[in-house]
Amino acid sequence: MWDQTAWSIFRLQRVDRTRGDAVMRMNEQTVCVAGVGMTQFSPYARDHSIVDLARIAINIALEDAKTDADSIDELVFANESDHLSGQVTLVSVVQADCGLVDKPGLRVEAGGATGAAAIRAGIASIRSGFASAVIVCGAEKTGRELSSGAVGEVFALSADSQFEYPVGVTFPALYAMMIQAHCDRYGTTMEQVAQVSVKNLRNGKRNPLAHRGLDVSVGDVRGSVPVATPYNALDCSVLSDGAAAVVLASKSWMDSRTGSRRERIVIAGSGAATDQPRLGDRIVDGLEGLCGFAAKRAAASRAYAQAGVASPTDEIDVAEVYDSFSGAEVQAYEDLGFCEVGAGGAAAERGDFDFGGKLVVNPSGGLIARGAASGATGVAQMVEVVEQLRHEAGDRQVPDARRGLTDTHAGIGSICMVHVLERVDT
Amino acid sequence: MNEPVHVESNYTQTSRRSMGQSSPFFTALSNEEIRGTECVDCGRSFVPPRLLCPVDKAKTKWVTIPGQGTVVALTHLARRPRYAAAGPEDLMLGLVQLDGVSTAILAELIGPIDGPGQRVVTTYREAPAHPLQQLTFESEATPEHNREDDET
Repeated sequence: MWDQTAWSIFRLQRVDRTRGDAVMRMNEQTVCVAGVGMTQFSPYARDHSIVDLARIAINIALEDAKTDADSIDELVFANESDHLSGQVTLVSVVQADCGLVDKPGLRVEAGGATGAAAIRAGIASIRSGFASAVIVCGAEKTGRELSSGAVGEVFALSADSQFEYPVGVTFPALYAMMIQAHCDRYGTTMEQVAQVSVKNLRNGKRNPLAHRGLDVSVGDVRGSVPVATPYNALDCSVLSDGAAAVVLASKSWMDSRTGSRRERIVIAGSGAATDQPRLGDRIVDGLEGLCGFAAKRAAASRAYAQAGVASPTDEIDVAEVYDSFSGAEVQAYEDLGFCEVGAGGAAAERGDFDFGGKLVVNPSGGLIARGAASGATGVAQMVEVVEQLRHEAGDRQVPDARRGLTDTHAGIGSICMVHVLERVDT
Repeated sequence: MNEPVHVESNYTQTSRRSMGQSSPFFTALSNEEIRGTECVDCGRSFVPPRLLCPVDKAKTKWVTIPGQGTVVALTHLARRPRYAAAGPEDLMLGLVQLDGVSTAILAELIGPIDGPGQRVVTTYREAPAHPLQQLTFESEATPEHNREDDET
């Protein structure tokens, strides 16, 4: 049972936001993000193996943190599947390639939530006192080293391999049934849902590290190749090659470093929850169980409680949300508490979560445009939020962003993780 | 950099995996029956089977389930995955809630299905590659399922 009391000692004390600066009293266990780095997300990293990608991301993050491998206490490596990389115990190979041998290292797997789960493991290591600085790196090649059918089959094995895989399950199929149920129950239209793809593909154009960026219309999305009704190709995230890394550090580690940044980006809340992995098992309490991600609601609630967030759209400026499909982002608006249940489609249509709206969702382009490289995705989401909170996001900067959120999940929300980050000016 | 070296691999693995304590479900399918489990405390039943009730965590017991139910969700895949049962190029998948059961099973739907709410009955495929592929559903309204009514 999640213990709110245990987390309360880590809760940062908040000061009236109307002052303009959120000055917080941090304690020695507060986890900061000291450095970030990521590679290009692309359809095919022709010149780089997965180990190369990991090494590049790690080196960028270490340089960004103004430190080196010697000062790191632990590596947590996020990688979804040996079936994709062809390398079991990939973490050892990466450690050897990055000068991290002798340091504790482990690989975390939690489906699509792998990157966020690895971050959570790094947070736990610092808060427990096992480490003062942890590098969390996610890497995956889901692009052209395997056929898209082969990648899809690996993903299908992350559904129930006894009772779903043999039937021919695909994740587009499962998500499609969920969004159709949402449309039937709440009157959401697929034209409203398509607005998410329009937004995210447009945002991808402003992200130099994105897999793709396009100007498309709702009509283009609705007219793209059918995949699993009612989803079409432009409703779907892309399969990418990529890597991302963050250096997590305790406050005391940060304080001991000269030349560290004036602003601190702290992890103010970390929430996680799980749900029944089989979609058909979620109707025990009624068919509304098909329409959203119950575990996301629980994970967000836990993260918000730790971070002291009472009203997400008033207190969060930017969010990287798990848009594995366009409709998944609409459902996430509701489950993250950004809008009422059933109102996500209308919110997408109004542009509530676009630039100029209530809070900006997926300025990076999200999984639909920035790309999805399984284990790297959750870490890349945090890289984006950190850059936003540092006010270093260039053309896609959310004005005066001070608080951000990452939302990552596995399967159809069978494992959900939400992190809240905040900028603290020292 | 010149074109990097690429190496092809056809790594495959043959396996023979146990269905373990879920085996009664698959055995029943070979007899054209549905077996699910029922919670000894709350009485809810589950197909696919659950050995522990997901609601109150009590043990469950095996029960026979009638082969008719309702489609609660469906989708049409433009391309049948390689690992599905052999069939047409496309594939219709649905969640079917069998009568009296608290959950829904994912299965291939055969023939015209109007949408969620459609009443369906079990049909069984011969010689599938995987025992689960025996089970499909088609509309209750198809002529062969009404033949018995006509005869009476």
